[in-house]
Amino acid sequence: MATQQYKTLILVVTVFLALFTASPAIQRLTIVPQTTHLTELSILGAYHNATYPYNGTIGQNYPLYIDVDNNLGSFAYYQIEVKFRNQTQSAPNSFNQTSSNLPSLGNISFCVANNEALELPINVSFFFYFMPDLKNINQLDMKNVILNGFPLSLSSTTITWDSQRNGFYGNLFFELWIFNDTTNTFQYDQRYVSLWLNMTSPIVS
Amino acid sequence: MILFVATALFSSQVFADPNDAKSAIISAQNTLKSCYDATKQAQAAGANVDQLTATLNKASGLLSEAQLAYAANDYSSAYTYAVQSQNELSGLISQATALQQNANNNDTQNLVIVILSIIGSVAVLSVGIAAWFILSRKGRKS
Repeated sequence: MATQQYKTLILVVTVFLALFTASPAIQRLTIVPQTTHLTELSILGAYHNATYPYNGTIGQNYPLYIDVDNNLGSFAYYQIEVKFRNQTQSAPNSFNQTSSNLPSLGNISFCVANNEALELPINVSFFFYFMPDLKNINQLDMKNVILNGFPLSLSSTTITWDSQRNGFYGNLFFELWIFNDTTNTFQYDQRYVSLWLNMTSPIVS
Repeated sequence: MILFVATALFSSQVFADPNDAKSAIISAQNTLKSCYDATKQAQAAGANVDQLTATLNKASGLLSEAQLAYAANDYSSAYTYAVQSQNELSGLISQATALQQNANNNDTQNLVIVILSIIGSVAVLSVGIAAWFILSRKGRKS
Protein backbone atom coordinates (compact mmCIF):
# COMPACT_ATOMS: atom_id res chain seq x y z
CA MET A 1 0.00 0.00 0.00
CA ALA A 2 2.90 2.32 0.89
CA THR A 3 4.64 1.47 -2.43
CA GLN A 4 1.43 2.33 -4.33
CA GLN A 5 1.31 5.73 -2.59
CA TYR A 6 4.96 6.39 -3.44
CA LYS A 7 4.31 5.45 -7.07
CA THR A 8 1.43 7.91 -7.28
CA LEU A 9 3.50 10.61 -5.59
CA ILE A 10 6.42 10.03 -7.99
CA LEU A 11 4.04 10.20 -10.96
CA VAL A 12 2.50 13.49 -9.78
CA VAL A 13 5.88 15.06 -8.88
CA THR A 14 7.42 13.91 -12.20
CA VAL A 15 4.58 15.37 -14.28
CA PHE A 16 4.64 18.62 -12.31
CA LEU A 17 8.43 19.01 -12.59
CA ALA A 18 8.43 18.07 -16.30
CA LEU A 19 5.75 20.68 -17.06
CA PHE A 20 7.55 23.28 -14.97
CA THR A 21 10.87 22.60 -16.72
CA ALA A 22 9.25 22.66 -20.14
CA SER A 23 7.31 25.87 -19.45
CA PRO A 24 9.56 28.16 -21.62
CA ALA A 25 9.05 25.82 -24.59
CA ILE A 26 5.30 25.41 -23.91
CA GLN A 27 4.93 29.19 -23.64
CA ARG A 28 6.57 29.66 -27.04
CA LEU A 29 4.43 27.00 -28.67
CA THR A 30 1.05 27.92 -27.21
CA ILE A 31 1.02 31.74 -27.39
CA VAL A 32 0.16 32.51 -30.99
CA PRO A 33 -0.14 36.24 -31.74
CA GLN A 34 -3.66 37.20 -32.76
CA THR A 35 -3.39 39.56 -35.72
CA THR A 36 -6.24 40.67 -37.94
CA HIS A 37 -3.87 42.09 -40.61
CA LEU A 38 -5.58 45.34 -41.41
CA THR A 39 -5.23 49.06 -40.92
CA GLU A 40 -8.00 51.02 -39.21
CA LEU A 41 -8.61 54.53 -40.50
CA SER A 42 -10.94 57.03 -38.87
CA ILE A 43 -11.57 60.76 -38.82
CA LEU A 44 -12.52 62.83 -35.79
CA GLY A 45 -13.74 66.38 -35.43
CA ALA A 46 -12.33 69.30 -33.47
CA TYR A 47 -13.18 67.76 -30.09
CA HIS A 48 -11.66 64.35 -30.86
CA ASN A 49 -15.13 62.91 -31.36
CA ALA A 50 -17.74 62.53 -34.11
CA THR A 51 -18.71 66.22 -34.07
CA TYR A 52 -17.86 67.02 -37.67
CA PRO A 53 -18.17 70.37 -39.44
CA TYR A 54 -21.21 70.63 -41.71
CA ASN A 55 -20.58 74.02 -43.29
CA GLY A 56 -17.41 75.06 -45.05
CA THR A 57 -17.31 78.79 -44.38
CA ILE A 58 -14.76 80.90 -46.27
CA GLY A 59 -11.55 81.33 -44.32
CA GLN A 60 -12.67 79.45 -41.22
CA ASN A 61 -10.20 76.95 -39.82
CA TYR A 62 -11.49 73.41 -39.28
CA PRO A 63 -9.31 71.23 -37.04
CA LEU A 64 -9.64 67.53 -37.83
CA TYR A 65 -7.86 64.41 -36.58
CA ILE A 66 -7.07 61.36 -38.65
CA ASP A 67 -6.42 58.20 -36.66
CA VAL A 68 -4.48 55.30 -38.14
CA ASP A 69 -4.22 51.99 -36.28
CA ASN A 70 -1.70 49.49 -37.64
CA ASN A 71 -2.73 45.84 -37.13
CA LEU A 72 -0.85 44.50 -40.12
CA GLY A 73 1.60 42.43 -38.10
CA SER A 74 4.56 44.52 -39.26
CA PHE A 75 5.92 48.06 -39.25
CA ALA A 76 4.23 50.20 -41.93
CA TYR A 77 4.91 53.38 -43.88
CA TYR A 78 1.74 55.22 -44.90
CA GLN A 79 0.73 58.22 -46.91
CA ILE A 80 -2.55 60.15 -46.74
CA GLU A 81 -3.58 61.73 -50.03
CA VAL A 82 -5.82 64.74 -49.46
CA LYS A 83 -8.40 65.30 -52.22
CA PHE A 84 -11.40 67.53 -52.84
CA ARG A 85 -14.22 66.99 -55.32
CA ASN A 86 -17.62 68.28 -56.31
CA GLN A 87 -20.77 66.13 -56.65
CA THR A 88 -19.85 64.75 -60.07
CA GLN A 89 -16.08 64.24 -59.89
CA SER A 90 -14.38 60.87 -59.32
CA ALA A 91 -14.73 59.41 -55.82
CA PRO A 92 -12.99 56.43 -54.21
CA ASN A 93 -15.07 53.28 -54.56
CA SER A 94 -15.50 50.95 -51.57
CA PHE A 95 -16.94 48.10 -53.66
CA ASN A 96 -14.36 48.15 -56.43
CA GLN A 97 -11.69 49.10 -53.88
CA THR A 98 -10.32 51.82 -56.14
CA SER A 99 -9.06 55.29 -55.33
CA SER A 100 -10.34 58.51 -56.87
CA ASN A 101 -8.53 59.44 -60.08
CA LEU A 102 -8.36 63.09 -58.99
CA PRO A 103 -4.85 64.39 -58.32
CA SER A 104 -3.85 64.67 -54.69
CA LEU A 105 -3.81 68.21 -53.31
CA GLY A 106 -1.14 67.26 -50.80
CA ASN A 107 0.37 64.19 -49.17
CA ILE A 108 1.04 63.47 -45.51
CA SER A 109 3.59 60.71 -44.80
CA PHE A 110 4.06 58.85 -41.53
CA CYS A 111 5.12 55.51 -40.05
CA VAL A 112 3.25 53.38 -37.53
CA ALA A 113 4.77 50.45 -35.63
CA ASN A 114 2.91 47.15 -35.45
CA ASN A 115 -0.05 47.23 -33.02
CA GLU A 116 0.38 50.98 -32.55
CA ALA A 117 -1.85 53.90 -33.48
CA LEU A 118 -1.10 57.43 -34.62
CA GLU A 119 -3.26 60.55 -34.61
CA LEU A 120 -2.55 63.18 -37.25
CA PRO A 121 -3.82 66.71 -36.53
CA ILE A 122 -5.01 68.43 -39.70
CA ASN A 123 -6.16 72.02 -40.12
CA VAL A 124 -8.26 72.81 -43.17
CA SER A 125 -9.85 76.00 -44.43
CA PHE A 126 -11.48 76.85 -47.75
CA PHE A 127 -11.43 79.82 -50.09
CA PHE A 128 -13.94 80.15 -52.92
CA TYR A 129 -16.09 82.75 -54.64
CA PHE A 130 -19.44 83.03 -56.32
CA MET A 131 -19.67 84.29 -59.89
CA PRO A 132 -20.21 88.00 -59.21
CA ASP A 133 -21.72 88.91 -62.58
CA LEU A 134 -24.59 86.44 -62.41
CA LYS A 135 -27.90 87.42 -60.93
CA ASN A 136 -28.98 83.87 -60.18
CA ILE A 137 -25.97 82.40 -58.52
CA ASN A 138 -25.90 78.66 -59.09
CA GLN A 139 -22.19 78.06 -59.32
CA LEU A 140 -19.36 78.35 -56.86
CA ASP A 141 -15.70 78.44 -57.93
CA MET A 142 -13.19 76.94 -55.54
CA LYS A 143 -9.97 78.93 -55.19
CA ASN A 144 -7.89 76.88 -52.77
CA VAL A 145 -7.79 74.70 -49.70
CA ILE A 146 -5.42 75.71 -46.92
CA LEU A 147 -4.00 72.49 -45.52
CA ASN A 148 -1.85 72.82 -42.38
CA GLY A 149 -1.04 76.40 -43.41
CA PHE A 150 -0.18 75.67 -47.05
CA PRO A 151 -2.50 77.07 -49.75
CA LEU A 152 -3.20 74.32 -52.31
CA SER A 153 -4.79 75.42 -55.56
CA LEU A 154 -8.27 74.15 -56.45
CA SER A 155 -8.94 76.65 -59.22
CA SER A 156 -10.28 74.06 -61.68
CA THR A 157 -13.06 72.89 -59.34
CA THR A 158 -16.53 74.36 -59.50
CA ILE A 159 -19.55 73.36 -57.45
CA THR A 160 -23.09 73.71 -58.72
CA TRP A 161 -26.13 74.36 -56.54
CA ASP A 162 -27.66 71.16 -55.15
CA SER A 163 -31.39 71.90 -55.23
CA GLN A 164 -32.28 68.71 -53.31
CA ARG A 165 -30.03 69.47 -50.37
CA ASN A 166 -30.13 73.26 -50.75
CA GLY A 167 -26.43 74.02 -50.82
CA PHE A 168 -23.10 73.95 -52.60
CA TYR A 169 -21.65 70.64 -51.45
CA GLY A 170 -17.97 69.82 -51.67
CA ASN A 171 -16.39 66.56 -50.58
CA LEU A 172 -13.09 66.63 -48.71
CA PHE A 173 -11.63 63.14 -48.49
CA PHE A 174 -8.47 61.45 -47.28
CA GLU A 175 -7.23 58.29 -48.98
CA LEU A 176 -4.85 55.93 -47.19
CA TRP A 177 -1.91 54.64 -49.23
CA ILE A 178 0.67 52.15 -47.98
CA PHE A 179 4.25 51.65 -49.05
CA ASN A 180 4.83 48.37 -50.87
CA ASP A 181 8.37 47.04 -50.31
CA THR A 182 8.24 44.86 -53.41
CA THR A 183 7.24 47.52 -55.93
CA ASN A 184 8.96 50.33 -53.97
CA THR A 185 5.86 52.51 -54.47
CA PHE A 186 2.80 53.54 -52.49
CA GLN A 187 -0.37 51.60 -53.27
CA TYR A 188 -3.96 52.42 -52.33
CA ASP A 189 -4.88 50.64 -49.09
CA GLN A 190 -8.60 50.58 -50.00
CA ARG A 191 -9.50 52.89 -47.16
CA TYR A 192 -10.66 56.47 -47.11
CA VAL A 193 -12.58 58.88 -44.90
CA SER A 194 -14.57 61.82 -46.17
CA LEU A 195 -16.63 64.84 -45.17
CA TRP A 196 -19.36 66.53 -47.20
CA LEU A 197 -19.35 70.26 -46.53
CA ASN A 198 -21.89 72.89 -47.47
CA MET A 199 -19.81 75.78 -48.79
CA THR A 200 -21.16 79.01 -47.36
CA SER A 201 -20.13 82.64 -47.08
CA PRO A 202 -19.72 84.12 -43.61
CA ILE A 203 -22.86 85.89 -42.41
CA VAL A 204 -22.22 89.63 -42.25
CA SER A 205 -24.23 91.30 -39.48
CA MET B 1 27.44 98.81 -42.76
CA ILE B 2 24.17 98.69 -44.74
CA LEU B 3 25.79 96.34 -47.24
CA PHE B 4 26.95 94.07 -44.40
CA VAL B 5 23.46 93.91 -42.82
CA ALA B 6 21.84 93.28 -46.21
CA THR B 7 24.32 90.50 -46.98
CA ALA B 8 23.72 88.90 -43.56
CA LEU B 9 19.94 89.04 -44.03
CA PHE B 10 19.92 87.54 -47.52
CA SER B 11 22.49 84.87 -46.78
CA SER B 12 20.23 83.39 -44.05
CA GLN B 13 17.47 82.69 -46.57
CA VAL B 14 17.43 79.71 -48.92
CA PHE B 15 16.39 80.39 -52.46
CA ALA B 16 15.53 77.26 -54.34
CA ASP B 17 14.02 76.66 -57.75
CA PRO B 18 11.43 73.91 -58.36
CA ASN B 19 14.10 71.46 -59.54
CA ASP B 20 16.23 71.91 -56.41
CA ALA B 21 13.18 71.48 -54.21
CA LYS B 22 11.98 68.42 -56.16
CA SER B 23 15.36 66.68 -56.01
CA ALA B 24 15.69 67.46 -52.28
CA ILE B 25 12.23 65.93 -51.69
CA ILE B 26 13.08 62.81 -53.75
CA SER B 27 16.34 62.43 -51.87
CA ALA B 28 14.55 62.74 -48.50
CA GLN B 29 11.92 60.22 -49.65
CA ASN B 30 14.61 57.70 -50.60
CA THR B 31 16.37 58.15 -47.26
CA LEU B 32 13.06 57.74 -45.43
CA LYS B 33 12.33 54.52 -47.36
CA SER B 34 15.74 53.08 -46.44
CA CYS B 35 15.23 54.02 -42.77
CA TYR B 36 11.72 52.57 -42.81
CA ASP B 37 13.10 49.31 -44.20
CA ALA B 38 15.80 49.12 -41.49
CA THR B 39 13.23 49.88 -38.74
CA LYS B 40 10.81 47.29 -40.11
CA GLN B 41 13.52 44.63 -40.01
CA ALA B 42 14.47 45.64 -36.46
CA GLN B 43 10.87 45.30 -35.28
CA ALA B 44 10.49 41.97 -37.10
CA ALA B 45 13.53 40.75 -35.15
CA GLY B 46 11.72 41.72 -31.93
CA ALA B 47 13.46 45.02 -31.13
CA ASN B 48 11.70 47.90 -29.40
CA VAL B 49 11.47 50.54 -32.14
CA ASP B 50 9.60 53.29 -30.25
CA GLN B 51 12.55 55.69 -30.43
CA LEU B 52 13.16 54.94 -34.10
CA THR B 53 9.46 55.41 -34.90
CA ALA B 54 9.47 58.81 -33.17
CA THR B 55 12.48 59.92 -35.25
CA LEU B 56 10.92 58.53 -38.44
CA ASN B 57 7.70 60.40 -37.77
CA LYS B 58 9.54 63.63 -37.07
CA ALA B 59 11.34 63.22 -40.41
CA SER B 60 8.20 62.17 -42.29
CA GLY B 61 6.36 65.17 -40.77
CA LEU B 62 9.05 67.46 -42.19
CA LEU B 63 8.83 65.63 -45.52
CA SER B 64 5.06 66.16 -45.56
CA GLU B 65 5.63 69.87 -44.92
CA ALA B 66 8.11 69.88 -47.82
CA GLN B 67 5.59 68.18 -50.11
CA LEU B 68 2.80 70.56 -49.08
CA ALA B 69 5.08 73.57 -49.53
CA TYR B 70 6.03 72.27 -52.98
CA ALA B 71 2.36 71.82 -53.89
CA ALA B 72 1.78 75.41 -52.71
CA ASN B 73 4.63 76.59 -55.02
CA ASP B 74 6.75 77.61 -52.01
CA TYR B 75 9.96 76.02 -53.27
CA SER B 76 12.33 77.61 -50.74
CA SER B 77 10.35 76.20 -47.79
CA ALA B 78 10.00 72.88 -49.61
CA TYR B 79 13.75 72.65 -50.04
CA THR B 80 14.46 73.64 -46.42
CA TYR B 81 11.96 71.13 -44.99
CA ALA B 82 13.27 68.33 -47.24
CA VAL B 83 16.86 68.96 -46.12
CA GLN B 84 15.75 69.09 -42.45
CA SER B 85 13.90 65.81 -42.94
CA GLN B 86 16.99 64.14 -44.33
CA ASN B 87 19.19 65.52 -41.54
CA GLU B 88 16.76 64.16 -38.96
CA LEU B 89 17.41 60.64 -40.27
CA SER B 90 21.18 60.68 -40.05
CA GLY B 91 22.43 57.70 -38.06
CA LEU B 92 19.02 56.01 -37.88
CA ILE B 93 20.01 53.04 -40.05
CA SER B 94 23.00 52.21 -37.83
CA GLN B 95 20.77 52.49 -34.72
CA ALA B 96 18.21 50.17 -36.30
CA THR B 97 20.92 47.69 -37.28
CA ALA B 98 22.32 47.70 -33.71
CA LEU B 99 18.84 47.13 -32.25
CA GLN B 100 18.21 44.34 -34.74
CA GLN B 101 21.52 42.70 -33.78
CA ASN B 102 20.63 42.87 -30.06
CA ALA B 103 17.19 41.43 -30.77
CA ASN B 104 18.73 38.59 -32.78
CA ASN B 105 21.15 37.83 -29.91
CA ASN B 106 18.26 37.78 -27.42
CA ASP B 107 16.36 35.50 -29.76
CA THR B 108 19.30 33.08 -29.89
CA GLN B 109 19.48 33.10 -26.07
CA ASN B 110 15.76 32.41 -25.86
CA LEU B 111 16.10 29.53 -28.30
CA VAL B 112 18.89 28.01 -26.18
CA ILE B 113 16.65 28.33 -23.08
CA VAL B 114 13.80 26.59 -24.93
CA ILE B 115 16.04 23.72 -26.08
CA LEU B 116 17.50 23.33 -22.56
CA SER B 117 14.02 23.33 -21.05
CA ILE B 118 12.92 20.55 -23.42
CA ILE B 119 16.04 18.49 -22.59
CA GLY B 120 15.51 19.11 -18.86
CA SER B 121 11.88 18.12 -19.10
CA VAL B 122 12.74 14.87 -20.91
CA ALA B 123 15.40 14.14 -18.26
CA VAL B 124 12.90 14.73 -15.41
CA LEU B 125 10.36 12.46 -17.10
CA SER B 126 12.98 9.76 -17.65
CA VAL B 127 14.11 9.85 -14.02
CA GLY B 128 10.49 9.81 -12.79
CA ILE B 129 9.49 6.88 -15.02
CA ALA B 130 12.65 4.97 -14.01
CA ALA B 131 11.83 5.54 -10.32
CA TRP B 132 8.25 4.44 -10.94
CA PHE B 133 9.44 1.18 -12.59
CA ILE B 134 11.93 0.47 -9.78
CA LEU B 135 9.16 0.92 -7.20
CA SER B 136 6.82 -1.28 -9.25
CA ARG B 137 9.42 -4.12 -9.33
CA LYS B 138 10.04 -3.77 -5.60
CA GLY B 139 6.30 -3.94 -5.03
CA ARG B 140 6.00 -7.16 -7.07
CA LYS B 141 8.95 -8.84 -5.24
CA SER B 142 7.53 -8.02 -1.81
